[in-house]
Amino acid sequence: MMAAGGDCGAAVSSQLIGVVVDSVERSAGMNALAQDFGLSIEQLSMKVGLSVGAIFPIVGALIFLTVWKKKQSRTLLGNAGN
Amino acid sequence: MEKRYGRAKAACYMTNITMALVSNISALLFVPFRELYGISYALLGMLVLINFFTQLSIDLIFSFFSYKFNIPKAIKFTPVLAMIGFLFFALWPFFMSDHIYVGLVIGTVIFSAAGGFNETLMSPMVAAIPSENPEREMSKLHSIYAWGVVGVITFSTLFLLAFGRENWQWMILILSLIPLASGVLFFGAEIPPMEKPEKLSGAFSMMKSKTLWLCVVAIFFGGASETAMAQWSSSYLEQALGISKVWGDIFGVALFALFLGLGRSLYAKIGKNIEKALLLGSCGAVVCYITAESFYTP
Repeated sequence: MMAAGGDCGAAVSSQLIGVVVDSVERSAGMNALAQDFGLSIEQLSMKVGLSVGAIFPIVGALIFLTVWKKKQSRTLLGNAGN
Repeated sequence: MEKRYGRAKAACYMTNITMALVSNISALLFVPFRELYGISYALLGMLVLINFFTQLSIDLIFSFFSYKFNIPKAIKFTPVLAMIGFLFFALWPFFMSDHIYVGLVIGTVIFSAAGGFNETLMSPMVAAIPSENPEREMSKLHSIYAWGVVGVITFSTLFLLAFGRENWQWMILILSLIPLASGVLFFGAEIPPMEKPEKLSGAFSMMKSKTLWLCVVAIFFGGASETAMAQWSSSYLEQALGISKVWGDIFGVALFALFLGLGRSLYAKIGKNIEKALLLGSCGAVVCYITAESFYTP
């Protein structure tokens, strides 16, 4: 089950980046934005794609922060009980 | 006792190197495929989706119905399946040059199925081999995957540099020798007896556990974070930063795999307080993502 969770994340993230990169390349607005920044559209689309990929570790960090905080509070409660 | 299963253990290690190939080969060829055949990034990303979705399906089938399979036969069949997939992947364009993407998909489905078998069978098999230090054996198996990635990336990069991107099929055929070696090792190897649930209810009852679901969600984001960078960094370094493929792959993708292996080995040796390690690791990943995307080369 856990291996399946990892595979699911791997599948979703890679496909999402590909779709974003292609969409940015096709967008006239993003082409204009790339010119404004002095970048080629390939450079900008890849950067936007990778930025979208950053969502995953950010959400992961938030989950782990919640888990860690819960564990800390349990430990504190346990110590107070003793 | 350990000596009795030495050949089987070596075959497991070799199969894990095969999996380094299964998980990374498409990504290393993203830019060549786009340049040679004009395949869009969405379709290239789809190959990765197909790869991991196939692995996911096999994982789930084995999670719930492992009691229905002949495990030793499935183990021995894994490298054979991977080799068949690589042969499809490499040879299809020679015969069906008008429908290259179809061949890439078929090849990917077949070798990814082998990846699913590997994920669900190799770790339990190594765990079933009697050992003085089972944790070390498991850590060794997992770190071999990372070293395999380093080897596969280095070889493929140097091959494409020396012989040209248009000869990528020959590279795959040479790399198919890895699952071949693994298959030969498994042939005649003694498979240790492995425990498996007798019926379906055991797997379903586990699904009621909140902890299990929390782990699945955590691994979802972990897998997504790792794979997004592992699969796209080669194309990103080449297209967005203008770094040549050889340097990008070796000092980007291979170094990523190297530190993946070091991280796994280090945690296996000295790791404690898993919640803190996961939090720090994911924060570190966020910093790395931001650094990578904000790096600018004119």
